[in-house]
Amino acid sequence: MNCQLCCQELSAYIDKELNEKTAAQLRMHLTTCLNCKAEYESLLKMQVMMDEAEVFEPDPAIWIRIERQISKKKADFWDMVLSTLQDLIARYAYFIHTPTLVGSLAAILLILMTFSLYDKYQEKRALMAWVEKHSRANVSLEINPFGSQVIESLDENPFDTFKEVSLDLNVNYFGSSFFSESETLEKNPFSL
Amino acid sequence: MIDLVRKAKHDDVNAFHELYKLFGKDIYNFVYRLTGSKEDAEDLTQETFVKAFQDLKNLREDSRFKSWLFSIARNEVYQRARRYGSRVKPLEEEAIQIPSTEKTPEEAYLHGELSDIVQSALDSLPLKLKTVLVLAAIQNHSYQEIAEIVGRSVPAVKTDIHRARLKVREYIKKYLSL
Repeated sequence: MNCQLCCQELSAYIDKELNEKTAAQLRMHLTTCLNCKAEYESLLKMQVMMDEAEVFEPDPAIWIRIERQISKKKADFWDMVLSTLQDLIARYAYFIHTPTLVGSLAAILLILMTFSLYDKYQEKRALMAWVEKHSRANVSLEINPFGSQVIESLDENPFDTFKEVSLDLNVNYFGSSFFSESETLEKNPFSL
Repeated sequence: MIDLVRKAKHDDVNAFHELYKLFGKDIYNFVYRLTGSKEDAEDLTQETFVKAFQDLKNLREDSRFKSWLFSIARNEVYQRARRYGSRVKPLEEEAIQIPSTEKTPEEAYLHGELSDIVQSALDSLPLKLKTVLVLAAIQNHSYQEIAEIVGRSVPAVKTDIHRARLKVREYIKKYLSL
């Protein structure tokens, strides 16, 4: 290693950024070149000064201000959403036809109810398929998604291997107990 | 740390507070060394963390949070330098040099205030060189991390750190035996 290359690499050597091979070459050069050694010691002395320079503790109030600002920005976001909605309503209220609005909302509600009932119908079908599979009985299921009547007929006792069974069918429409129906069979209804 | 970053991404302020406890002091000292002013350092630390919280969802690799945070702090300092000029040194070397500390290096040395000497020497540098030197020599970041923070190549960073060291050494040499 020559003096020019050595001086270029001194900073990286002080910062421990040289690979082992280059660092070894540089160390070797420093043992033979007094000028480069003096340069290295001078830079090293300066680095010691920087290492010893004071590290400051931030004021604890900084976090309080950060937290306050973050909360404010989050609140600002929802304020913005709310005020935009209010603006839209205020701007277009004149054009809104009340029967149309009510009709649209009713249609949306009906669509949601249909989807929800269809989901429950699928759940019941899966349950009956399970009973059929495990009891080797034929099970038929009829369901009227818009009515309260659920008709289930079993042409063979699916529980003939059990003395007592407990079966819960719980249909919870829209997460409301008002629409839920439950059937509990404490005893085998098909045993004598 | 990665777990805290993930939680903070979902607006968990407590997790973000833990991240502040981990890096707040480093960011404050980094910004303080760049600006030479405690008031500016407090404001910029606050702005850095608020911006980080807002933009956290855009961070692709959670493991690079530290470098990403420092790059935000650096950008905040640069923006302030462009906006106000103030105490922060301009980006170009040709710019006029106005030391931020009130004491001269001799006065600082006489009072045994090493930190002030270091700060005066740093303030003699243009902001670009000061940034890489503070990150390497005072905050002990690797050259790879510094390259990520300043958005430049490792060889370019290495060259700038060496240039900065020589300039600071020349500055201090006038007053101290180096």
